[in-house]
Amino acid sequence: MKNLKLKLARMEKDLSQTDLAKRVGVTRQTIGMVEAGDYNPTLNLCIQICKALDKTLNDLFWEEECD
Amino acid sequence: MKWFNRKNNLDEMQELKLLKIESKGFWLGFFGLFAAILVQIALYGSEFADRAAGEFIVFLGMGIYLIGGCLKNGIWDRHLQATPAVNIGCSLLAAALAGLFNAVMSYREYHKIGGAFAVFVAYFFMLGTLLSVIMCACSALYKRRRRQLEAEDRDESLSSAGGNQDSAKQE
Repeated sequence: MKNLKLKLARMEKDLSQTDLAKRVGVTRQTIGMVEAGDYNPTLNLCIQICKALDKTLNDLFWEEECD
Repeated sequence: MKWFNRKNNLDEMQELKLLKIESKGFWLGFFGLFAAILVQIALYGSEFADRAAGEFIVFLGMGIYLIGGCLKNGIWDRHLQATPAVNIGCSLLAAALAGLFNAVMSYREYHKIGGAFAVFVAYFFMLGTLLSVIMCACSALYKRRRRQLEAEDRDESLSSAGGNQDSAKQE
């Protein structure tokens, strides 16, 4: 499932995937795959991404259940 | 030395991908060696030991490393249960395949159907018994190791739960 919340938060901060990748110390490909839902990041990386975007884990990685 | 960096150049996603590639490479090598050994047995018969000793040693080493690593970490199999019935079933299946292969080899060499059948029966019962004993011994070791690891985890969770209670009291 695509992580649109992460993409929106990144765009709010006016960061490219490459910028965010540099801030959290991973490759652009990894950020792209997290946003596309092709890779489940570790909790450590989730926390680093949240810190870089000034968001909480709930804001970016919590999925509300759909009926 | 600029061409070598002690720090890991890969991030977690790349590391995971590399592990998958290495894992596939390992299995490719494992079954490739197995196939190479079977082909050499088929080609050279009893002379295979002289020709395929290297492959056989590497294949055996890979198998022992795999079994040792799994047992040490309390891992058995993704899909199969470590029960006597499954162990004996798998052992008999492997023994039947080995028996069939050797029966074919025997028939090819001596052209006697009775002899080939005797080879099959001998392999089936002797190898089946041997493998069953080894599998049951390994599953007993696995269960013991798993109990040890579970007990270690329980101690850690108790101590961390105690730590949480302490911090809750301080708050």
